[in-house]
Amino acid sequence: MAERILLVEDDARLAEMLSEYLGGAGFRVVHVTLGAAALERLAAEPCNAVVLDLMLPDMDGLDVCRQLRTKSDAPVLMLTARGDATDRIVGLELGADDYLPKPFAPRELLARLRAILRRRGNGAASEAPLCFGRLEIDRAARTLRIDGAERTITSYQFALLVALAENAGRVLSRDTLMDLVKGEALEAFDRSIDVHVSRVRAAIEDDARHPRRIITVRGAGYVFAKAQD
Amino acid sequence: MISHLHTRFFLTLVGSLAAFAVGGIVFMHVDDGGRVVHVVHSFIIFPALALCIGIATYPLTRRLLRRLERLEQAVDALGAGDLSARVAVEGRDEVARLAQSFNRAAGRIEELVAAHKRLLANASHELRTPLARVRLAVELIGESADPKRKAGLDGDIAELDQLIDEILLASRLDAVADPGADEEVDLLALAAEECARYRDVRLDGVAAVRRGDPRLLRRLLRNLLDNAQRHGAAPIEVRLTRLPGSIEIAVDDAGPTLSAEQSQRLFEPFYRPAATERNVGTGLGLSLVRQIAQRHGGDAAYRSLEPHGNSFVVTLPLQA
Repeated sequence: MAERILLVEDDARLAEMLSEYLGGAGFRVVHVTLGAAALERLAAEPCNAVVLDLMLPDMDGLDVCRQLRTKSDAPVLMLTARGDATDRIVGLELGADDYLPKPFAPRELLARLRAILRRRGNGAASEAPLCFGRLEIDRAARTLRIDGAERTITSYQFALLVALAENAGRVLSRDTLMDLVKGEALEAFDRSIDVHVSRVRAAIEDDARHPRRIITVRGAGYVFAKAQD
Repeated sequence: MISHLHTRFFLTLVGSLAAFAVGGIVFMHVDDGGRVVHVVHSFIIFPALALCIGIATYPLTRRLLRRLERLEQAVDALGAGDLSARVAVEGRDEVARLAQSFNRAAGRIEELVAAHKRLLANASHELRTPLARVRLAVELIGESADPKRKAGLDGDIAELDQLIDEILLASRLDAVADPGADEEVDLLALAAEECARYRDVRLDGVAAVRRGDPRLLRRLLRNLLDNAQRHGAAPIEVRLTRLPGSIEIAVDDAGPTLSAEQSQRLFEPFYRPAATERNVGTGLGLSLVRQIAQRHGGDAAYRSLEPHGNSFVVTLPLQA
């Protein structure tokens, strides 16, 4: 059965297009324009996830999120145009599961929505997946997805990717990387870190010759980009 | 109308003069020849009287000074960005009225800044929602659309998004004394990430980590690189150099060296060299670079390179 998504968005045209897009991806979308209506609707019939615009005409999206959390444990994905880090932090503290600033890439919205649904399905206690744009790294299931499609890498390469992603925005030297993945089962062949990195790149980069996710810093090491897509 | 404060000082002064007069009368006498002679003791008595008056008026002065100090602290706090700073109104004199005026002015500033923040948030929402619609519409066109045209539209949307971001950011930095995020930022990593957005930018530098607003520092680097791409020429090189107590981020390009007049006005908001063919952008990019650098305790400057080329240099103290 199709998963039900409650879409709380005051812009009718955007909501219509989102319903069409998410509907095309196999979701059943219920749309409301007001925060109060969202809370009523959620009390009346449960849904699998909520996509919530932060700026609504009747009440602040953050208030909606707080009240919604007391009524339902459905995962919440916040949409906002503010782009302010404070709102993001407050939103996540109030119980939102993820955050996406407008104008978002539709494929990223889909990937993130699927990620929070999967995470909720696996039980809230499981380790949260790392999401960077369209890339999702599920540390609990040890899987890797781009646009929701699974990519395959070896266990050692996965550990390498996790080490990089958990330190996104920091330059890691080859020695540090080796230390971080120490204890992982060794590969059959003694390949250098660079070779493993190039394999990971082949799996996650749109163009492995011009990487945007794992970047080489000459003479220093590698950096996993914080801002992707 | 004689004010309360004025009355107090006036009465204190009259009291002092009266005390001196009484002291003078008491400690003088008429000599045998009928002349008025001051007694030597008055040299001891007068300072003693002055001391008594000083002690008597001390509580009044101390209370007044304390209230003025509290007012000064509130003004300083407001100036430092604490818009909720107010001062307790005590009594009914000028200082009390000054405190009331300060509280009214601070309240008005707080309201205006809050209104400005609301306006920015609303403007951001109103501008970005249609942009989200366009982006979604491009996606809904599906596979049938020409990929080149689709990529072009995506580029246009990204450009428009950046313009909105720059205009709103310039407005926010100008008007709101918001300290922003304060996180540890790896500047070399940030530079590497931003350089990776272009295919032909070379990065060379040392590791440098300092606290700051990562979003603003990313915007600083992005604007410098966008500027070099738009107005400079390849090769473009980003250098991070450690200086005593600071880090220098330089973005060099091999474009024609700017004139003295141009280089002086580069960091002004909305300044765009007239003869520039690829005149795109808001004209806010470099002024934002300087604003962001200054917000982090540093500054931005232009240096010409020999025989030709431009270097845009941002210096940031390593300890904020």
